[in-house]
Formats: sequence, C-alpha cells, structure tokens
Amino acid sequence: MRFLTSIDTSASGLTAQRFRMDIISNNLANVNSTRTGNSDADGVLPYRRQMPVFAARQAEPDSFASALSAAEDRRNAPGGGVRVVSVVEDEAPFKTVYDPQHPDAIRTGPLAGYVRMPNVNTVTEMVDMISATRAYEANVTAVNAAKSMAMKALEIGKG
Amino acid sequence: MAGFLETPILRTLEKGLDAASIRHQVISDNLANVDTPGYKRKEVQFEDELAAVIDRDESAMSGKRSDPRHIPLNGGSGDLSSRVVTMEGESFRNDGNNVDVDREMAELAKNSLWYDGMINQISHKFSMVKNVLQGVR
Repeated sequence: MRFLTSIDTSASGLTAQRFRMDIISNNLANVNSTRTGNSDADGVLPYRRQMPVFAARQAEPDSFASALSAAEDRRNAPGGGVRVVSVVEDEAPFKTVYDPQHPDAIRTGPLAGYVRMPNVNTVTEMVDMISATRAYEANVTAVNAAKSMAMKALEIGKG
Repeated sequence: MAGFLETPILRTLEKGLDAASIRHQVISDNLANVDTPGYKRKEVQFEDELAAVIDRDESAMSGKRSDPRHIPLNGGSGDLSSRVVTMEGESFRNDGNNVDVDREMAELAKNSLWYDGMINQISHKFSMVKNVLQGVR
C-alpha cells in the first residue's frame, strides 16, 4: 500500500528534523563550555559546534517484483525519504575572549590571557531552529494528508 | 470481476488514483529532503500521458499486444502510466537543493483535492450500479 510508504517517508523527515533540533539544543546548551576533556598545546579545547549531514534515501523494494522493476527504472522510482549520515564538527575557529582570571585561559604565547570559547553562534542556531521547526511542520502536514487520502480510499463503494 | 464494472472510465480513474498516490509519495520525499544538500526535487507526470490517450483517434487501427513488452499501437488507457522525473535545473539555493516548500505544500493540497474528487467519481459510479441492481424492488 503506497500511502503507508509515503507516511514512512514523511516519518524519516520528522526523525531527521527532530535529530537536527537535538543537535541545535546541544549547541545552544554548550555555548559557554570551555572544556570537553580534550586538550592541545594551548590548554583545554572548548566545545565545537556540531552539524548533522543529511542524505536522500532510496526506496526499499518490498518484493521480488518491485525489486526487479526498481532495478529496471531506478531513476523513475520515488525516493524513500531522508537519513542522517553523520554528525560533523564545525571547523570554524574558536572565539577568543580576553579573561586572564579564567582557569582555562591560555598561559603562554602571543594569545596569553585569552580564553578560547566554543565556535557556536547563537543567532545561527536560532535561525536553524526555526528552519527545523518549519520543515517538521511540513512533514506533519504530509502525514496528515496521507492519512486523510487513505481514509478516503476506504470509503469507496460506501455511498 | 463482473464485466459491467470493467469500464474504460473506471480503469482510467484507477490509473488516476495510482498517479495521485505516487505523486503524494514523491511530494513527501521532496518535503523530507528539504534540507538535504544537492537533492533535486522530483515530479510525477501523468496529465500529459492522459491527454495523449484521450486525444488518440479511437476509430484508427490499433495493434493487439500479446506481450506486455510490445510497444502499444494506439491502445486504450491500459498502457496509461505515470512517470517520476527528477527536475535538475531551477536551483536557487547555495546547497544545490531545489525544493521549494511553498510549492510542495501547494502541490500537496492540489493532489489531495484531486484524489478526493476521483474517489467521489468512483463512489458515484458504484452507487449508480447499485441503484440499477436495487431497481426491481
């Protein structure tokens, strides 16, 4: 039944957007975290902003016949939604704040007295959050439409 | 199935419902991939095929197919099918994705209405047959 497949497709979108929201929350929560447990020559390393990587998912064939036809026209098949491939760290440079009293301030070198802060930009995260919310809502609308279409199909022949 | 239900109209409506459900699947896929870099939106083409079938001259000679792989010669709506095409161009975003949420939502609404309309047509067909069957009482 095609509608159940399209609900799965939308569900993958919901999962992906919710996961993105989790990552955004984590970034916002760690906006001032100067310690991650790792360190380099200049001292402890602050939190790095994380980003999800999305990729389109191929439709999964559910029988031999559909696998055969999918092999014949893979280009013509509707896709199976989205999936999160990995979470990558933003390699953008850390913000530095001059604060010699801070326990994590750099002790020596030209940056002595500066504290490295996470490369999280609150404004970017807020904009990403709005985008994730809207995309989530769009997927919910698609699920509702699929539901009402499936219900309508069950009404054939009732009148 | 009973022969009187095997009408060309019902067959065409059936194909239309198929196309609507595939189109819904494609729109859901486009919406799910709204943030996937490099994803290109897909579209279902059905109306063009339908128009081509309707415009065919019914009185002209038609070829009989003994194998589904034969190329139809002026056949009926039996070979009517929808196609999923990937829209490569029209990208206006930096990440190469060309999904426009507004457009997809409009397509979604249109498709739902179209589907409901066809369901009503099919129900109407069946209720007419029912009327005839109940007529003797």
